[in-house]
Amino acid sequence: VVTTDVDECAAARFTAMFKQCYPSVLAYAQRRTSPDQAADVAAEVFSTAWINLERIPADPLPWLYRTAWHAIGNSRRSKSRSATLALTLAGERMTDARVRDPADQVVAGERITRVLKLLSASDREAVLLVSWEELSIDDAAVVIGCTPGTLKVRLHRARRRLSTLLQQDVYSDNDYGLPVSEEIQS
Amino acid sequence: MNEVADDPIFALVAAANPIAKPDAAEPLDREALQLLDSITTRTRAKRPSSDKRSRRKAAAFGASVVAVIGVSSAAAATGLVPSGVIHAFTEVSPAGDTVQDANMVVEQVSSNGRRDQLWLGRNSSGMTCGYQRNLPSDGSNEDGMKECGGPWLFGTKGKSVVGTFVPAGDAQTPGTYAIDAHSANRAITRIILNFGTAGDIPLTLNPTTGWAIGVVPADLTWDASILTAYDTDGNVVATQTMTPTAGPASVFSLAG
Repeated sequence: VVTTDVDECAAARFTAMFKQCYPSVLAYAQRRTSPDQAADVAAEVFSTAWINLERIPADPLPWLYRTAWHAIGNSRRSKSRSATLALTLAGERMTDARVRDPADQVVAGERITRVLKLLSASDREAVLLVSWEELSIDDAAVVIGCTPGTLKVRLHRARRRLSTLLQQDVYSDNDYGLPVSEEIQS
Repeated sequence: MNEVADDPIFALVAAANPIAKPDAAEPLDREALQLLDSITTRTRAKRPSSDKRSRRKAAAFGASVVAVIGVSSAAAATGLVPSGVIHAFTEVSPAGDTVQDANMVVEQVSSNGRRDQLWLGRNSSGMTCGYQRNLPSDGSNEDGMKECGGPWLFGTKGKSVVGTFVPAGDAQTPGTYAIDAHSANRAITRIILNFGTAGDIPLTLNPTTGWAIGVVPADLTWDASILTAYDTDGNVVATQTMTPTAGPASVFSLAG
């Protein structure tokens, strides 16, 4: 096989990006899907990145997260929405060495997970990107596909709702296990 | 750390992070290195220019809209949507209950022969079960979401329009979604999903059951849209901005 300089350059760039970002992308997927699905999502993200290497910006992580979010959406095609809708419950099924103290997780995780599910998808993702992935507002906006200003509005709205829900600390009166979008007109 | 790190609510969310931030200095494990090797040994396919991609996207979406419009009218005119048809299916999760007496409440037939149907029934626990049944035009195996939830699966009961987005089956381009909606308001005769300048996707509405169905092409999966229900005179009965379908959320409820 004869490789060109261009191929070698692409491979070198991709390898550097992979080594830098793979753990973060895998962690992103693990936080939102099952461990098995997470590995598949990460593989899909980097396969997509390889094909689209010239389109990936200098700071690749937001682009990779956005692709991962899309891949997770596609994984719902496994026909079981509930499996992928379920945010990772704290203290549950995580055996990775990087997992935090289970006692802390049980206390905070279940309660937070419950109320996070009551946010709209984009609001929830906005919250998770800044809280779990620790992205800046600008980078999180790239992942969601909106302007930083819009993201700030979403975060403000989500924060207000989270605050209310945490004070109530009850399940929503709809028990579908799915978030309900906010109405804008009656 | 970022702009919201000091906020107590976001700090609470951050504390519930089930996976700690990876250590950048930690070497990749064997599986990751194998994945890296397997990807970089693949040939990188040349992508079409952005102009070509835009033209393809526009053409594909145009074709979809034409197909759906044609089918909407045809279905209503020829009564393609049967009622009272019995079908059994088994939910994928969580219990795998078999639903013995599901009814097809709406069907959309595309000009290429693809059929998308929604079947509803109850499992032995009394939960609402839906089967988003997709029948590819090439005769390959049927496919689609099968799920039970209860007591109701499609938003807040009693609202004018309720519904959900679901993946449109493995035979479709990844990212393609079906939208299932139910109108409790008999005055509603048209439901349209508008993607701004990208165009409209009219849902096929079965006036007998009040159920409607449509398909969102993968190209629009990341776009926000506005779902609007109209009466026979073209007046807006209810409308709502919808989040992009690719996000992991799907239930909606419109008052009106």
